[in-house]
Amino acid sequence: MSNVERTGLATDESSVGDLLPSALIAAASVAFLASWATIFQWLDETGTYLGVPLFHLLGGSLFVLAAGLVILGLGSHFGYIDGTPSGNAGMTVGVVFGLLWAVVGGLVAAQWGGNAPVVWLGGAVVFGLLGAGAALSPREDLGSTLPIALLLAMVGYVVVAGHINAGWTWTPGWTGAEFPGSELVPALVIHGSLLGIWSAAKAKRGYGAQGRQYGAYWLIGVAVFSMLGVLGLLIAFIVVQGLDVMLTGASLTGGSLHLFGVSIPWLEVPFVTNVPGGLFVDIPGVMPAVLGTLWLVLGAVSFAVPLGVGAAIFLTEYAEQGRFTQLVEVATNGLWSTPSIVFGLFGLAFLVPRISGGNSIFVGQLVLGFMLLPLVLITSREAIKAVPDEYRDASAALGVTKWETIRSVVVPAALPGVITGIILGVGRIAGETAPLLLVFGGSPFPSAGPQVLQSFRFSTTPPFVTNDALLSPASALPYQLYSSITAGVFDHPAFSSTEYGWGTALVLLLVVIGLYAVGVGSRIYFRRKLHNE
Amino acid sequence: MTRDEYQQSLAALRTDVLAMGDLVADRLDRALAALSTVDESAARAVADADDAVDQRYLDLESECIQLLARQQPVASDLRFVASSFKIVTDLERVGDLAVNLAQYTLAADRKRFEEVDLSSIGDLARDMLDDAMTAYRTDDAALCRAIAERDDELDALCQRASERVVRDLIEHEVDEGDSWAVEELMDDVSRLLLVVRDLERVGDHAVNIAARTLYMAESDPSLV
Amino acid sequence: MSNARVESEDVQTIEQTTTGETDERVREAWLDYEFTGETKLSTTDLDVYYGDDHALKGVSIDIPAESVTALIGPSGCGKSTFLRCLNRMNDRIAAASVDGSVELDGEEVYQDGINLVELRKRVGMVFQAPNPFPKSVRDNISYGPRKHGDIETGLLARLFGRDDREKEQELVERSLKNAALWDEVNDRLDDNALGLSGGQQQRLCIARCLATDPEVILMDEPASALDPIATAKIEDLIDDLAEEYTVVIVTHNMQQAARISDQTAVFLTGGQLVEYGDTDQIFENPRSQRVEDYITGKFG
Repeated sequence: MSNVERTGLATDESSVGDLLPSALIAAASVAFLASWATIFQWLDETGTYLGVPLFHLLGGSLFVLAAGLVILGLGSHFGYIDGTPSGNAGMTVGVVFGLLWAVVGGLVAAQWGGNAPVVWLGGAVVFGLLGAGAALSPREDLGSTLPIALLLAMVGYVVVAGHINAGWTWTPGWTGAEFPGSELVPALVIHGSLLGIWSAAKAKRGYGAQGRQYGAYWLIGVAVFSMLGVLGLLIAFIVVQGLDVMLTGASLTGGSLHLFGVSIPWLEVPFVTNVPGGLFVDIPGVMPAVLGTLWLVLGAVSFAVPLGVGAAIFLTEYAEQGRFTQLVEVATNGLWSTPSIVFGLFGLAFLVPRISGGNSIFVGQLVLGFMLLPLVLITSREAIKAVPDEYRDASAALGVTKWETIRSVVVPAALPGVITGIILGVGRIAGETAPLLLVFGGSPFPSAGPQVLQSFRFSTTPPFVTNDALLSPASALPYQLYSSITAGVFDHPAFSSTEYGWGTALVLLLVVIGLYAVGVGSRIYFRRKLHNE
Repeated sequence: MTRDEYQQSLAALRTDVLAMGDLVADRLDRALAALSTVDESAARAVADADDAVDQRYLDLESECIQLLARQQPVASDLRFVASSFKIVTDLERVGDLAVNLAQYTLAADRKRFEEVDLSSIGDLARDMLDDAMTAYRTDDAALCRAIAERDDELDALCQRASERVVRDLIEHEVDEGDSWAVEELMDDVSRLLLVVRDLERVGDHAVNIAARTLYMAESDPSLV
Repeated sequence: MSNARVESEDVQTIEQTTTGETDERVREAWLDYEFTGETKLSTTDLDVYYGDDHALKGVSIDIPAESVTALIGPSGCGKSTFLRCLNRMNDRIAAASVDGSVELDGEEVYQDGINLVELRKRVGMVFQAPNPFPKSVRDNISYGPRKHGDIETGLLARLFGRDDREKEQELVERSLKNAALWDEVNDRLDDNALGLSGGQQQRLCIARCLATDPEVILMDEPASALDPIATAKIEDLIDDLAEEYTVVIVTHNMQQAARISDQTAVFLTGGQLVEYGDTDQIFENPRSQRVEDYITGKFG
């Protein structure tokens, strides 16, 4: 019989072991959110809530966490709480706790022993080893709760006792930085509550492999939630700032739609449909910029996609996997990581003199196309490689040539992946500003949109097709945004520069979301065609 | 070697068939001995023990079927199982013939027709059976062919014995008024003829066994 | 079970049986094997190397027309390699080099200037794992003829006055019926082929192969990925196909080879063809002791 410890299949639901961690996680989450709110100034750090100063609440929560963790650890150790702790808490816990204790030790040593490296380094090492040892030597239930509980209790005490408070700053002698208390306390509470959540989650499922999984789940959950929170905050902020501006003068039926000679009452959003300047405009709009952005995206996509997909096909299907393809991969990665301002500079120095003499839409399209190309190439290559070889074998066995196979089987199967690449790329270039500043931007608030379609002229001499509109500068949404918010050159009684900028930002957001929708929709369509079960 | 269990099953089948052969040969021996020494109790023992042989036969039959169903033997293994299947049928028939012989012993009065040499016929048949089982045990094709040839000798012996009986019958003087004596004579004659016929049959079964064994060993169906 | 190429006492070496006897006596015996009917495919001294690995050693074999020939042998013995030589699918493997001759109806397959498209139209292949395209059932079947120019539908074709939609429908119906799949899918010809069950997908691949009107059908373990019922249907199908087509099937399932084939060729470790003859004879009384040992399972 193996020497694995046998535990029962189902653990008893010991109520303390289940409710206490849940309560701790709840309390720690509240403290986490409250600290973020304090940093964002949504809560006043000098104010009192529930009759207690805020910082005392935050510090107190750390205390509560520490106490709870001690109860859980000791309870499991003495058998009052059921669990399946491992022999020790594991390397991760050891390293993390060791590092935390090392930091504390170093700070304390530096504070009381002077700034000599020997002192704080020595203090850091000693405390670090102590902390790691405390985490690793006992069983997991003690090792993952007691060291951190002690640390949390210390921090909590320091905060509650007022040693660090809103007005406190710390300028340690060994660096010129200042650590203000109003930021330091929430930061400490954020980290402390995360650690508390981690340990409490592990305790809730009785430690061991199950506990660690649950702990990881909570940590990852907090990370995801934070990411979503940031995203939501960003979008909400833009919407809140720009919605009023965008909907100025808007109405459901004020506008009209002309279809087959009949006028139908339709949505009217003058901010979107008007031009920014001009004599008869009460509400300046962003239409020319919208058109400019759309033309840029269209041009970049039509330049980059055929080139990128074609190159990907060549590299995957025809080229021998060797030096050449590796070189191309390196070059593509390099191109993808190049800053956008460098692309703009290239356009300015090389393309502008040769093509249009000055800023123009066409050069802007080319530059943005260059930026889109590497992403399309990389994702298309992956998508084509992902098409299983069985299809190619089957096609070859039917006597179909290689090119026909690529055309009829490989590319349709790779299409969803290729479209994903295009969506990602379009999202990036629709909002690029730096190259536009250099090669594209004309007047940021033109009185009319670029009349590209109307400006095509055919001639009998090369280059046979000219388009003045394409060769002239224009405006685009990011460019306009930059101009109005930074340069403040917008001049109209209806809005201030900033307000106009927020409205533009919201429109840009909507345009990008619209492009995404088109991309995602087409990807769903092609994916359905491939997998229609 | 791979398929251990399968190889073991094949070996077990061969052993079991040989065991049945031994059993049947033993029965035949006893019956012949009882016939020549007119030992009624021995004869009765043989006659009553036929069930054991039949049971063996059924067991072996199902053993073959199981092998076929589970292991799907091919080539020489297939020939082996198929042949064994047929051989046990022949063995079972020999067992029945031994019982017949025992029953004749119980019923007959051997005082007459002592000239007819049943024991040499019986010995020959017994030898052929022994050789057939030996050939089966050792896959000996030459022996199989030799047995087939000896069958002619056995047939000749039996033929002569039957003629002898008939001639004696014709020459025998019986008081034709004594109907009981006539009946007794007729019974003895017919019984004797049947014994001779049965002994010939034992030889035929031995030849069958040799024929199947030849097919098993060399895929040669010429004797079948 | 050891890798077939690694020496172990269970594995047959080229010249010896498991009991150590040499098997010279039958090396040449089966070359006299004769069958009635004409030869569809024949190979002479076919050698295949994967880099330094000599995968197939001097295989010479004649495959009769309109019958089923099975290739059996332990894994790694070269039977799939041999099969792939017959329609030059080994060309797709960079490291493979082929020596020797393969003839289809007397015409050399490995000559310069061979039209691969024509060759693979006449010699079709079905693979081990079903691999239908991610298209509808109809498109799967008409894929080959479409690419060969035999069928044209669509806007452009109609512009030029050619509309083969009826021809396509008839081709699809015929191929599916020949593959014993028509009854099961005739109401979902436009559904994606990936939605069919494994056995149906394999029969679809067979139908797709039949659509190009081949003369020879090569099958590389077509039923090994399928459950017994699907396997049984494929075996029945092969039986029917043999009336019109020449079928060469690689299988590691000996009972399957015994059930469906007319001729069987036995390859043993090392890429050597060891015996070739009527299936009945091979499975009742093989001439080679090594083959006897292999098919009775004395070594694997």
